[in-house]
Amino acid sequence: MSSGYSHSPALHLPLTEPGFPPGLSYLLGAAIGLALLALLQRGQFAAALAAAAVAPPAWRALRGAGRDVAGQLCWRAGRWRLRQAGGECELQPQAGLVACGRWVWLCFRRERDGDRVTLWLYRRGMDAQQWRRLRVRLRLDLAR
Amino acid sequence: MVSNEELNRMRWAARRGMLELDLVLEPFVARCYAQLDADSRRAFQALMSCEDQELYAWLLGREQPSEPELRDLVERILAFTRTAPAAH
Repeated sequence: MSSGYSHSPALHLPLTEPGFPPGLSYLLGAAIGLALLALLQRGQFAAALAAAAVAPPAWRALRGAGRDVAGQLCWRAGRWRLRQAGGECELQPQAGLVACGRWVWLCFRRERDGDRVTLWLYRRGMDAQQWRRLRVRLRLDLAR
Repeated sequence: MVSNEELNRMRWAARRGMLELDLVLEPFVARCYAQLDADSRRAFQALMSCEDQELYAWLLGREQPSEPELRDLVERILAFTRTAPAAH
């Protein structure tokens, strides 16, 4: 069955920073809004103005966290590769753990120098089909 | 040689709680799993990690898995259900 590798579609998985979960960032946004209202009600206009100036960029930073792609993990024809700004390297899978159905922890060894590479992949960084294919690929590759 | 522990784990994994899947997967595990080679057993374990809706579509022949390893196994399971209907 391993001969079927060459016919398996390639996987291109984005590596992202964990960032803030969307629900939590909305909660934080609501808390900031309430704090501003409280400051205004107490007549502390200078503090409210200062907070109002800082809040929007902080909110945007929180919402944007986790969206920057730090690289790409690729699988093609039985080979795992890590693509980052610095270049590309081939990896050998060592271990993996899928937890809570939301993230995957992967441990690789770099083929070039044998160094250990640990990666975290988050479900919200990929679509359902990619997520399923990653889980299947890990089952097939890591048990070898 | 398949250990009893592995066989029991797969029996448990094949109980999906969806009648259409249970009627196909449970007999396949009971009759065929122990005879599969190591690659096919690994593919079966990967298959069990998929969602019920995906298994349903594959085992009803509406769709095919994109991985050849899973596609071969699904075909094997479907061939089993066609050739051994009296067993269910």
